[in-house]
Amino acid sequence: MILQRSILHGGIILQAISAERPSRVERLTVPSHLDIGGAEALYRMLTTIAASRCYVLDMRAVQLIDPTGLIALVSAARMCADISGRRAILTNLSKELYFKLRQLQLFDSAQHWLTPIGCEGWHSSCEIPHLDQINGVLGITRIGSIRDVEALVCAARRAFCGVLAEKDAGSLVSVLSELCANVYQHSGDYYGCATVQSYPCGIDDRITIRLSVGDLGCGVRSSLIKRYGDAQKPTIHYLEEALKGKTCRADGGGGLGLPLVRRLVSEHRGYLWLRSETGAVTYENNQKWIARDYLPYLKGTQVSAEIVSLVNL
Amino acid sequence: MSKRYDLAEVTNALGLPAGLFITRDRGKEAYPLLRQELISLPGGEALVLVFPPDQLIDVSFADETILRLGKEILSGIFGEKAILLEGLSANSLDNIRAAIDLGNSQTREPDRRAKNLALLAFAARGSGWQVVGNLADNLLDTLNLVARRKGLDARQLMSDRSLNLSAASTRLMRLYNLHLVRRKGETTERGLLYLYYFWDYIGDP
Repeated sequence: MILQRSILHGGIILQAISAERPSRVERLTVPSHLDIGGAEALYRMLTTIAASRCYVLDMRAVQLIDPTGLIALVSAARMCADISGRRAILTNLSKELYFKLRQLQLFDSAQHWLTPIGCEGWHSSCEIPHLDQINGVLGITRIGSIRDVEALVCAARRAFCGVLAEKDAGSLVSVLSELCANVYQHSGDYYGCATVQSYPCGIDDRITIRLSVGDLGCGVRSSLIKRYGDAQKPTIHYLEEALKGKTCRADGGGGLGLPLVRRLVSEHRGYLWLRSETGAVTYENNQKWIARDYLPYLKGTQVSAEIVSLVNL
Repeated sequence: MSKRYDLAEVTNALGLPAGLFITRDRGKEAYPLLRQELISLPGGEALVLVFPPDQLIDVSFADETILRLGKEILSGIFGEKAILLEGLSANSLDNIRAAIDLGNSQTREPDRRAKNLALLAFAARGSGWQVVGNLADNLLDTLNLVARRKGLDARQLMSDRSLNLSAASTRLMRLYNLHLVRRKGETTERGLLYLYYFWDYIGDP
């Protein structure tokens, strides 16, 4: 997409649209809190994506984006781009949000599917540290191959091994390794991505970690149904089976990643959210599962987890 | 005598980042290298897998290498041999335990060998060992005795632990079948007598 500069914010949109000549512009207002709830709201908006349209993601209301929301934003942009044939446009970004998303590598990792506008010429008033220099954050990282997983794991070790207690850092990185390997091994999608962020949790020696891994691949149901083949069972049945360790591999090996996340979340009284196609399963604070079916269709799979961890004292 | 094998050779051979043992695919690539080392050992010896400091082993890699070899050893295809693990971090040990536990969980295809799998793990520099996996308390107690005594037969165990001969023999036989100890047979006037030994572990030179 060729963007032509314009003085007026609105003018930039119109000029971009006119360069591409879509038949219609669809403006989607991104929810203010882009967490699990915000992600579901965003996915609901995407149920009527059509070709020959230009999708504009209006970010003016956004106040919070956590890792689930970031991955959801990337997925939304990919879905818009894949179907409409045009990159999604991010508009009405505040300066603060723009620089935060830039720091989290959103615009680099998702450059094929989205582009921010109205931010040209913005310079940060202070130097934005490179992500490698920040502890406790893993920016959006693409997973397309085993080498990507290895690089991501190395980056996660650098980011978290000095921040978290040794055992928790090791567990977190191990879980990331398993979830990211699932993407390139099983999903069929070479553009999945992952991100991890840490947040203060109000207790001195503790920190909250949130991670999210997502892809637009074949989904859990399709992956398992090839082996266990019961088309009558709903999607959530397959999500629950995957969380218990069912594997799609013919030799019976594998299927350890999701049970491992569940185990990590149980040990830390955190939460787990597994979303694929029309189903989602949530596991929180060692409570019983909450399973929801008939959700807006999301191609592929997204896994998010939150734990409260000890810091490295 | 045991043989030491530095796992850094695996990362070098496969072109992996140093100390990074992750993903099932890499485990499948590493497995033949380890298997070959085990095959090349004479009977009655153990292969000490030496892990580098600051390693990361994920559950899938462990499942595809250590657990796979462990289960095959239990099946008897390698004869009287064992693998001993050295230098594993607490997190790596947790992941190996998780791989064993998750392999035993109800919804996965049943694997009797995984249920019985127990491996010996040594701290770096040979200062103490522990069992990773499932081992009943009475067998662990017997194993400790074998390690301390540098050789134990059923009559000695019977005497030490006030067991009948059958129970003592059974415990030692079970440890042997789990490849946690080795044994030598001697023909005596009472018949064939087995003496059970801890594996000859060679610590950090």
